Formats: sequence, structure tokens, C-alpha cells
Amino acid sequence: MTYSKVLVAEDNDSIIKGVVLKLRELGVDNVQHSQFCYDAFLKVKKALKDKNPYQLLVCDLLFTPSSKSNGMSSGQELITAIKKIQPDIKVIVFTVEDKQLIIKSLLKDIKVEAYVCKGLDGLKELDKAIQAVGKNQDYTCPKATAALNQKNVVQLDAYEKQLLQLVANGLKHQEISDHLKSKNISPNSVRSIEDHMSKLRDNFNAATTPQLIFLVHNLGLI
Amino acid sequence: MKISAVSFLFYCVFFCCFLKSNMALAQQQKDSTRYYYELANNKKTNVDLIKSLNYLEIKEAENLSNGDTLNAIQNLRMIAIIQKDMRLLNKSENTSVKALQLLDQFQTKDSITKAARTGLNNNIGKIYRELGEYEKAIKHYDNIITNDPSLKEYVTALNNKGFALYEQQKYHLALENYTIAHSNSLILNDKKIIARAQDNLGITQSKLNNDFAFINMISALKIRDSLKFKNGIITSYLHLAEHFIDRNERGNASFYLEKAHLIANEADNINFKEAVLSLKMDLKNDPELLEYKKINEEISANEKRRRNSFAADQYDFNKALIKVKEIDIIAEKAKTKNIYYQFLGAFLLILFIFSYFILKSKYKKEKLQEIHNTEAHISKKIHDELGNDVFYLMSQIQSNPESLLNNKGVKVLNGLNNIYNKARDISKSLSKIETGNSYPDELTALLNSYGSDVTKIVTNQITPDFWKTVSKYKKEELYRILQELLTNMKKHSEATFAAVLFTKKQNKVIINYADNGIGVTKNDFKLNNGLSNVESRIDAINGNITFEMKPNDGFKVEIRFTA
Repeated sequence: MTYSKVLVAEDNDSIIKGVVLKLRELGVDNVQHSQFCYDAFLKVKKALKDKNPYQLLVCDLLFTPSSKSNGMSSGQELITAIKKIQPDIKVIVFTVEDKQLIIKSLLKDIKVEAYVCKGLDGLKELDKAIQAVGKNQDYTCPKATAALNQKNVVQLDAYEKQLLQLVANGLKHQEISDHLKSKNISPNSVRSIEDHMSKLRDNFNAATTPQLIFLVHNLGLI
Repeated sequence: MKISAVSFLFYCVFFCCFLKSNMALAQQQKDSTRYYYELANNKKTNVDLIKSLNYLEIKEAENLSNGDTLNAIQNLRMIAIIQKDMRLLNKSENTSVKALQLLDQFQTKDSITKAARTGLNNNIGKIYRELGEYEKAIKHYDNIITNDPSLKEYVTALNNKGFALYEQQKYHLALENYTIAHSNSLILNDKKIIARAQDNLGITQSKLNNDFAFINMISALKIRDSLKFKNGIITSYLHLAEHFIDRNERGNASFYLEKAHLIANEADNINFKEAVLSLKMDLKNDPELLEYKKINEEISANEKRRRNSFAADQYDFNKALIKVKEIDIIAEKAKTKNIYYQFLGAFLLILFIFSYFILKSKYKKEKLQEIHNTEAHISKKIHDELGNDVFYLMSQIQSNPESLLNNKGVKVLNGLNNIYNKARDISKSLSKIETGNSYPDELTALLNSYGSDVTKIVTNQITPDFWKTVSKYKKEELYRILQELLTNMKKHSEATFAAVLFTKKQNKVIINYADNGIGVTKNDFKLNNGLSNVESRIDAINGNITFEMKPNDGFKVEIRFTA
């Protein structure tokens, strides 16, 4: 599906230019833009009233505060308001914001269709997002995905810590299993212990268990 | 040590001065009391008496409020005596009664309180006698007699009581008192008192037609003669004359009257003269003269009464006058004080307003300064981190445009991307921090944003309520601290792993940071602006931080602060 009418809510002139150019490239004739949240909201409202609604909104999150904001000062507020009056509008968030919390809340609570972080490949990713949304698919750019999954962070839980400690103490997997059983801690089968250790090695990019133990010991984790 | 010695010396000097001034004050008080006693005793003018009275009354009130009852009583006694001298008999009576009531508070009976009690009762007795209220006078003399007085006081009281009874013409009772007084006066062995008792005994016996009357009066006269006690001698003569007038022995009577007249003239004492002449008239037994004498006595009694009441009025008037003056002075003082307080209040108000504005402008200035500092800091950061990169890229393009623009200009794009990321990081480092329930997520997101495909960040899972007891401010500071550490890690360490562990011991939050990078040397550390920022932030939350610096062996930091 291609779009005939798209609104760009963005306060930065050069980005507006880039985005409008990209949309024209994709064959959208009617591209309008707005630099203030409340102005964008009014445009959507008017289009709806004229029975010629926008099909897609490309929206930034951070706006320069202005007197025209009329109490609406962030992309989140704008999108929430628009989704309320026109639930079928597709929304692509296009922003520098890459905080996990914010991405999560936009995707889960406000239910935007796509989330693209600005950056070197920003416009390329926007292109992909428009294509995906056109096919009724949700899309998050790789940067946002990384932020969402927090794959750069390894969170050790108490069980894993204990496991590492026991391995470092020189216990074999069978002995660890017995020890955990005696303390009523599960999972305690040799199989699951091996699984956990392998996952940990992966997480720490360690080829062998001794390398893993050396690493976690050096980092003061055990 | 030196200072304490000096301060001790100063204290001593101060204390001595204080003591001295205190003593001087006490001295002064005593002196002025004595001065007024003497003023009262010398009885120069009524004004002096009133001055003394006023002073003593103030002192008495002061004594009472200070709980110095004994001095109050002494002063009251003096007041009563002055009042009696001024013929303010009723007032004197009231004062004496008040003093007696105060005296009753003393359970123990030492010589001072006893003397005071006797003196007061005596004073009241005299007043009643002058007022002609003999029964009341007798009651007070009885008070003295039953109150274990000294022998002299006892005899005096008996004499006075006897006189009151005699005036009432209760001669038998008078005789009884005089007899006891006489026998006791013999023990006392005071000739003046013996003579008085014996003389009184004699005249009373004379009234009762007792045979010993004449002998007693003559014996008393002899004693008084030997003492050359003129007042006593004339009294004796008058009594003897009266004795003979009663018995109608005119020759004897006029013999003693002439002698009395002689002494009265010699002493030039009008009271005695009056007494002598009065008896002389009785002797002449002329009805007209006697009537004249009776009328005269009535007139003088009236006159006396009038004078009494006039004295009382005069006294009240003078006192009121003085009081008014005093009140004026007090009012004036109060007014001055009032004005003083008003000035003080106004001054304080002005001071308050001034300091308010000064503080306000100071606060404003500080706030502005803070804003300027922050702005300067940010602009410096932008210049250092972005400006330099842009400049570097520009110079690269100028010097070698072909190689940079190879492969669709990927090198230029990468350079620009770096600059963009830095700009975004600066913006992020100044953005708002979520410190509520999602603070742990915020921290994880922070760690994640500093991780990459080549650098993994490790942390431990924490309990949901880990951050509940930590204040918002400390959470914010901690976030910035971690941000600085991680920025440092990303810029300089070349680490592939960094660990940030959160633990809690009792109320202490402990954060351990470690990486496997190239480590930091002391020189690096000194030059590193970010790490010194960390130190100042730790100071701000009253925490402490330890850096472990070993070249080529990673970088370790431990942060501790109270939640």
C-alpha cells in the first residue's frame, strides 16, 4: 500500500527536508509538515473533519517548547491525542531518543507502528519502516531493537552468581547438582547446569569455562 | 593555655568588679535607710517625716517582695513611730498591727523578734491611751506581760497598764499592778523605775485612802531628788499636791504646788506649767474658775481632735502629691521606654527588610552565576567534543578529499556519525532522569547505551525495593556518576567487559565498578576532568569513593554512601 497523504511532525527544518524528500522519493504527493505539537493535532483534526484524513504520521518526540504548544509539548502526548481521535492512523516515531523505557512505552502503551532512531542510517531505516508499516507490519530499527533488548547488558542473577562461585571453587557439574539439591535450590539437574554455563560463556564471549571464571573473577563478580 | 589563663584573669577581674559593685550597692542601701531613720528621729519638718515615711514604705514593700520579713518589720516599726509623732494615730495603729501580724510568722522567739513585738505593743498601747481607749491599751500591755518580756519591759508594761487602769479610776486594779511593778523594780534595782512605780503606787493608794500613800510618794520624791530627775520631781510634787487637795489640806497642797511651779518655770515647760496652774485652780475652788477650766479642757480636746484629723488629711494630701510626682516620673520613663521600643522595632524591621533584599539579590546572583557556570560548562563541552571533531573532519576533507570521498564517502559519513552521536550523548547527559519506580530500568538502559558489540556491561539483578530508601537527589547523582565512569570507560579503557555491581549492607549502598581495560595511571587520572567530577559528586552526597589504579590491569572503583 502506498500513502497519498502523510503528516510530518518535526521541529528541525533540515530533518523535515530530509524526511519530505524521502517520502516524495517513495511516491507520496501530499506531504505536509508541522513544527508544533498542537498545530499537528489541529491539522489531523481538520483533515478528519474534511473526510480526507492522513494515513501516516511521522513524528518526533522532542519539540522545542513554544507558546503555541497549548499544553501539548511532547510527541507522546501528540500521538496519544491523535490515536484517540483517529485510531487507524499509522504512526512512525522518528527520534534521537533511544531509552529503553521510552521505546517500550511507545510500542506497548501508545501502540505506535514503528520506532526509528535518528542517526547515520536514520533515513534508510525510515524507508524500511514505511515499507513495513505499508505491509501492516510493525518495525523497530536495529538501534531501537538493541535498546529494547538491552543485549549489551548482562544481568547476573543470584542463581548464576552462585553457579559461577561453585565452578570457581573447583566443583564438577555433578557435585554442583548434588550441592544444589541438598540446599533445595532448583534447577539442579546436571543438564540445566550445563545449559546455564553455556549461556554464561556465550554472554561473556568466553570460549572455555576457565576463561569465563577468569573474567568474572577479574570483574569482581565472584 | 595562654588564652585560658588570660580569660581566667579577665574573669577574676570581672568577678571582683561585680562583687565590689554589689557590696557598694548594699552599703548604699543601708546608709540611706539609716539616713531616713535619723531624719525621722530628728523630726525637722513634716516634709522630712513624709520623705522618711515614703522611703521606708518603699523599702518595706521591697523587703517583703524579697522575702526579707525581719527588715520589713523593722521598717514598719519606724513607720509606726513616725506616724504617731505626726499624730496619725489610726495609721500608726494599722501599721503596728500589720507589723505584729508579720511577726507572728516567726515561730522562734529570739531577742530581736521579742524586742520588736514589745516595742510594737507598747506603741499601740500608747496610741490607745492617747485616744482614751484604755481597755484596748490594757490588752496590748497584757500582750507584753504574757510574752515573756525582760524584767525592765515587764515593769514598764505593768506601770503603763496601771496608769491606764488609774485613768479609768479602777484604783484597786491599778494598785495591784503598781504593787507588782514596785516589788519587781526593786529586783531590777533601777532607781528611776523604782521611783516611778513607788510614786504611782502612792497616788493610787491616796485615791483609795491607804495609809501608806504619803510615805510611798515621799520615798519616790527622795529618790528622784537624789537623781536630780526634774520631770520625775515635778510629777511627784503634782501627785503630792493632788493628794492634799483631795484631803482638803490646802496648806500642804499649795506648798507642793509652789515647788512644782518653781521647777516648771525653771524648765520653762508649758505642759508642766499648765498642769500646775490647773491644780492651783482646783485648790482655789472657785466655781467660775472651775467651769472655765472644764470648758477649756473641752475646747482643747476638740482642738486636739480637729488637729488629728487635719494632720491625717494633710498627710494624705502630701502623700498623694508625692505619689502623683512619682507616677509622672514612672509614666515618663515608660514613655521613653515605649519610644525606645518603637525605635528598636522600626530599626529591626528596616534591618529585616534590608537583609531580605540583600539575601534575595545575593541568591539571585548566585543562581545566575550557577546558570552561567553551567552554560559555560556546556558550551566548552560542545566546543571540545564537537567543534574539534568537526574541525578535524574539515581539515581531513581539505587535505585529502579523494580518499575520504571514496566508496560513497563512507569515511566522511562515519566521521559525521561520530559527531552526531557525541552531540546526542551531550544532550542525553543533561536530560531528565526518571527516579521513581522505573529507576532500575533507567540504570539498565544507561548501562546498555554504553555497551556495544565489542564491549559488554555486566551487572547483577537487584531486588525491586533496592532503591526505595534512597533519596531522589542521591539517585540522580549516582546516575551521573555512573555516566561519567562509563563515558570514561568508553573513551579511554579499550575494555571488552565492564561490571557494575549494586549491593547493600544495612543502610549503605555499595557500588563496585570494574573493567578489563588498559587501566588508568595517576597522571591520566589528574588530567581526567570526568573523574574529578565524579569525586565532587560523591562529596555532594556524603559518600566516599576509592579508585584502584594499576596500569594494564583494568580499572576498579568502589563507591559507598548512606541510603
